[in-house]
Amino acid sequence: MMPPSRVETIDPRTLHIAGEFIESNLGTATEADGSVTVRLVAQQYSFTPQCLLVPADTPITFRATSADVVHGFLIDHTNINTMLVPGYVSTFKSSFETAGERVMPCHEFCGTGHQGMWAKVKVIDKAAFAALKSDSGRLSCVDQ
Amino acid sequence: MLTNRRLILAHFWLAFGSFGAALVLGSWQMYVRSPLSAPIDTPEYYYRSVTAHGTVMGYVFPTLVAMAFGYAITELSLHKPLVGRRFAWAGFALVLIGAIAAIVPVAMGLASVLYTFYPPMIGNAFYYIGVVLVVVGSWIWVALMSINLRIWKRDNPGEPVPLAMFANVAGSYLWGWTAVGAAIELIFQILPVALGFKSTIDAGLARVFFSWTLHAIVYFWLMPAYIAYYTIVPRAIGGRLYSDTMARISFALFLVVAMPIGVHHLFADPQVGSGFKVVHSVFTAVVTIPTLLTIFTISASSRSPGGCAAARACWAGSRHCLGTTR
Repeated sequence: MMPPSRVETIDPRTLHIAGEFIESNLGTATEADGSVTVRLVAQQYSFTPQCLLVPADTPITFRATSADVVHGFLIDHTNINTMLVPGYVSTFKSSFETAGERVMPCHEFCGTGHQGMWAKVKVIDKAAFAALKSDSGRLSCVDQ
Repeated sequence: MLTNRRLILAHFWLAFGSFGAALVLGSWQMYVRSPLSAPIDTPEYYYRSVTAHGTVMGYVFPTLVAMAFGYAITELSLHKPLVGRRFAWAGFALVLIGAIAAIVPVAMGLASVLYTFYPPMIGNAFYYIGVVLVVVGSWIWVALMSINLRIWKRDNPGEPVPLAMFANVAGSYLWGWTAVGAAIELIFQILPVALGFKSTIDAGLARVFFSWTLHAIVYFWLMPAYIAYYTIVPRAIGGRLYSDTMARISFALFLVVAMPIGVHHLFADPQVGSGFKVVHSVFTAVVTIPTLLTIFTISASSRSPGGCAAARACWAGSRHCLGTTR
């Protein structure tokens, strides 16, 4: 597992209206090769989506950025850990061996609400994930 | 022989006075983070306190201690009064004014951005101006260390520079250079936005500039400690320095390899590519060389005959070892 190593820039001012990080494209997308890509945005003081839904035992690419200040992206009990810097896309490859719920706190000071900035990661069985459908083709667990 | 006691003590008094205040804040912060409930436990007050604590511990306290230590070393090791006493007082005044200018907006809750600044978060402009003044005050010290060394070398041609002064000047050059990163970030990126002239900041670039200084703040602590290890400790234990050359090589190596390694604080950042991360890993690994040289030299010094006797006396609880420090 490697830290983010490819420098990729993005305009944080148009994040919500055009390109890869528009609201309808956030969440977990299944790729043609069977892997999944999770896209998320951090802002004061939440992540979007607020609950990430991912399959176990599957290669996962996280792509994330910030809409305002510097945030931190960390998933408990894994070594997934990267900074989210506005203007840059952080990419991180990983996978989860077992199903279960994990917490995802922002781990870089981002303002007075920083300590309330938490999200959840729900890892479910690979077959159960494959059976899920979504109109947009993007999955999350914000409504669960 | 110290002829500028008042100058040196003024630095130490301000250093330890601010350190005392930072200790109180730090204790309260620990209490807030503990399961016990602390009074006035709100995030606003907590981050205000963390910013004040970090600013004192990161900039004000180490800067003043290194400056005072440097002025004392100059007089004690070169056996002559400090050249540029007025400039030294001016540097002290800048640090004092800067510390006050920085701490007032923080205390008012107008700059809870932590000592690492974290742009694009923006606080009151006076906070940043204050930190810049502290850095500029310390640069006067860097210049004075260099000038005093040069004058001594001119007056003592062919003589080796006393080790303490050699190390002190190496430490001051290290700080002079590495403080440039935060100064660039503050003056060219943050202050234009804080003062309302601009509305955007490249946060990634700002983090790179800051890392240039961030790493060296650690050295600002380490250098005076190493100088003490190499010059005061062998004498205090009644031994002698095992190798003067080894000491000089260590300080020269610290100066060279510690200058460019701040990026190791950004290994999890997206704005730095893998190439620079590898290069900085290598430089960071090389820091072990002067560190191991120091461990070896200090251990060898304390095992010299005088050192052994003094150490045994200390272990026996005798007051003999205190006598040898005089």
